[in-house]
Amino acid sequence: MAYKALYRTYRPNSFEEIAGQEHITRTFKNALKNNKIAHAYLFSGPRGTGKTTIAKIVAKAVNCEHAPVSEPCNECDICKGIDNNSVTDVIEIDAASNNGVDEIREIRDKVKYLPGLGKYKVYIIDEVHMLSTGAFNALLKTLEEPPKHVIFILATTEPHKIPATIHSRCQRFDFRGISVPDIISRLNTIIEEEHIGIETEAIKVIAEAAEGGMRDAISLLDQVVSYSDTDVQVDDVHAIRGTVSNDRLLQIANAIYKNNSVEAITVLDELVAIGKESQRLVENLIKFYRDLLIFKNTRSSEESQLLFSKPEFLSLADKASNNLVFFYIDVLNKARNDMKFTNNAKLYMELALIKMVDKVEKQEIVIEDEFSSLQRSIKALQEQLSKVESMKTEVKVIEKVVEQPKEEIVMSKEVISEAFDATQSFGTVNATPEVKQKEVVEAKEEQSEEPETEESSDLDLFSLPEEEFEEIEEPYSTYDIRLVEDVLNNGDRETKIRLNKRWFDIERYVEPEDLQYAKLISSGRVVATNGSLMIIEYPAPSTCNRMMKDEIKKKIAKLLSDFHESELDYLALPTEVWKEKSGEFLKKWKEDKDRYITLTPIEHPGLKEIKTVHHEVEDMTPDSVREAYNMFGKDNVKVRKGE
Amino acid sequence: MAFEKLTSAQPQVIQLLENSIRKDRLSHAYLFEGERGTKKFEMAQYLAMRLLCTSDDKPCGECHNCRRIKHRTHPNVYVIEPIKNTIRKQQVIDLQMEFSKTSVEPGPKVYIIRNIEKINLQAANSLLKFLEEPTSHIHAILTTENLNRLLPTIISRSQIVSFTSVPDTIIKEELVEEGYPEEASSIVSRLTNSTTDAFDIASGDFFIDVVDLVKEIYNIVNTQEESVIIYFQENSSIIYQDSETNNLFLSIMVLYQKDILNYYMGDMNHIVFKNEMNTIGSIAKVKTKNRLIDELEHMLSLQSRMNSYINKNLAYDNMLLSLEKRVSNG
Repeated sequence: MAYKALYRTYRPNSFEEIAGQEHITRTFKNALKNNKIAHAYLFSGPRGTGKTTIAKIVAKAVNCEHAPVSEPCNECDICKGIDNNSVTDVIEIDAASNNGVDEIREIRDKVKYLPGLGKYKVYIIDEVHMLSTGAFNALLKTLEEPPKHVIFILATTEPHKIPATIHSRCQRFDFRGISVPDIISRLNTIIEEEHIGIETEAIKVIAEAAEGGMRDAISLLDQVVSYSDTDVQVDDVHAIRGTVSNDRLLQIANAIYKNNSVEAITVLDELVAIGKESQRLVENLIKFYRDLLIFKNTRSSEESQLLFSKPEFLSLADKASNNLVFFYIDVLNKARNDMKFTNNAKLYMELALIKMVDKVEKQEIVIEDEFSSLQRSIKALQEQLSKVESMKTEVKVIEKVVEQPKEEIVMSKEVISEAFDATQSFGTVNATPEVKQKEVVEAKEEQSEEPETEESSDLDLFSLPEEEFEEIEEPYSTYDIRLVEDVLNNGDRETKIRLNKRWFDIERYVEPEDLQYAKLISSGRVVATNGSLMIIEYPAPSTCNRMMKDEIKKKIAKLLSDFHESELDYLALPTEVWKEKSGEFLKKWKEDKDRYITLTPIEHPGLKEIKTVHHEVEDMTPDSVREAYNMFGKDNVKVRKGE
Repeated sequence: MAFEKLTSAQPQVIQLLENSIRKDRLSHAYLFEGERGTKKFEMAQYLAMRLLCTSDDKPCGECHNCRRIKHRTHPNVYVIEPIKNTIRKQQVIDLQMEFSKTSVEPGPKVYIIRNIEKINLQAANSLLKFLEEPTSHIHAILTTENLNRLLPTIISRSQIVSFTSVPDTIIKEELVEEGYPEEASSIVSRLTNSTTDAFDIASGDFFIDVVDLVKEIYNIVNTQEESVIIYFQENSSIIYQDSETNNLFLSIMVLYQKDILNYYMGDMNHIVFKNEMNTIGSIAKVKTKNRLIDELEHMLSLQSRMNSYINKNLAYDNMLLSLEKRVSNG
């Protein structure tokens, strides 16, 4: 007996042995056990995934002497007979050679005869897509209502070529490509049985090269074993396949990355000298860059690709940008297409290498990449800078406070607000303009007078001890985070939905002169509310600044309140800030759901932090005082309670 | 031994086949894949002889069996070649009929299908079953120049044996040994992978003329003393006489252009036109690299379009004009 190829020797004899395809083997095992076998099956899938093999196993299982069983016994006479083709009940037909109507008519005529030995006549029609249209149609009737003792199994690699009428008469099973680990484990079984000496890495290379086809894998193993003198090495596999080892690919990729075309071409020459074809090399390189891209973007380590463990590969994945790799792949793809129509493949390969090293497009990509990385670093720097700035002002405030705590307490805005809070509590809220006038005059006078004298008079208002002074709660500024915290912690979803429902109607509701405000309103959207205060999100920070301007804010708040018939105030936030804050809130909320959540302050370069006093209080600031502020500067003006 | 050349050209293949026979693991189907002129068919015959040879030093190439295989008269060796550029289903069916009979002579049976990529779809599919599970002692050898055009089901049923191209240097050496000038030899060695083709080209009537034409064109491009177009119109009659000379001209243009590019990149070892260093150098100084690449690509695309019906005069004029321009548009 001549040598039989490994893939024929190791054709699985039972469902258990089949690698992958669990969805099919399980269906069949159960169907066979429960004796629920359909009369026609259609197997479809790529080469080497087990179509013919499973068809043969099914044929054995239904006819096995021990039937109904989930697996053929492979020991009874019938099983053995089917194995060596001596049982006439299992008929394998090569549809490609017997594709005419006549051959199918012959089947139709013979179908009615009972099986000789087993229970069923099984027709395995391989390559069924090659049947002619006439033949398909001749088969239809038989396929739909065959005699009880007949099972048809049609196998094909190209199911789309089969008429829909055939499809609908069969149970269809789609075979999938076999995964690399499945191939490896099957190869290992064979290797053990055959006592083959082989490197583990070589097995992996074989399994990857097979691309899902078990027959390809075993065939390659067979070939490699034949080729090598002793134990099988990885290089043997590459030699047989004509592929290029990962090390060489890395070498080329690195040379290209370093823009060294001469080195890349030298490596190419070496590879061609040891018999590698340019076409193969291009395909390998494309696959290499594809792997690089996938690794770069997913960082998947579960895929047990050999390549992913090499340090050079990792560093290359870090360095090369997506755009650059896309460009490489484009160039290589073009080269591959061009190569098909020429006998000058190597020249195209060299040209591709040169192009990858320096071509205008690539330079653009490189500049683009550098540009974006510069942008990123500038942004980071800006952030740091703004942080430093804000820290500086803080430091100043603290310094001030520390330096001159007792005499000459220069009124910072906090103090002013405190003063007004105090004024309020004294019941002189409705100060008449005259009083205000007096205040200003006094303020001016005080300014000119020596500061020490006034200290005593101010004492009743500002007699708070120094420590307490620092503890005074800061008033709400324009973008105070406490407002956001308040809204988020007391969020009212229903109101928000209600507001958003009618949000855009406001344009139709307002008077024509207010239309600009309405437009401003409807360009944003409510993202959160606590019933009285809502957060409106706008894409641009400048819109927010505009929205938060005092006069506009008043106007808009009134419009909104009128329109939605409830007292409403709002806070306009740019999208970025909102995303950041809501994200932060969610994160903290997940940690502890009952706590009142506090957030970090809002920091955004585009927002004008108008550190005015809390708006209620600010309303109280008389115009005269403001004028005084303008004239002398805020820090120099002190306001005292009128007599 | 009669197969020294085969051994030196394809050592890996020989190793594979010899090891397979020694280990008794010879596959029932081989697919020999490689460029033109890589001795695939010779290798197929070698394998057939190796299996059927009757003398001790296998294959001898001289015994009765070997001689009959060489002359394609051995009943156990069946060769299929494309008829009118295709392999038809009838040929495959004939093969199957022939091989279903008991052989007249002892020993294994071998069938060789040359240029299997030329097989039509029906024929390929009818071959599949026969290829996968032949009766015992049958060996199939398929040869192809283009693996990509085969059905994946055929590929996966056979063991693929890649044939390496004959290196340029070997061809060049052989030419030089035969007394051809150094420069001509290295040009020819770049044009083909087959030694026989190489000798044909080198001894062709117009080879030297075409090379001179190319050199002169680049010389004019460099000096700009006269119009390339006019020179070309006056002197190009030789390249229009048949398509072979035409292709030869374009291939040599490509080689020259590649030389300029090589010079630009400082890759002096690969320059073919060693005597033309001055011209090459001064052109490389004037033109930018991107322009050189674009020109080269233009030539290559022209080369692939040459076989379709295009106006060759205009195509060449276009190419030469772009070469001649001092300032590139792009």
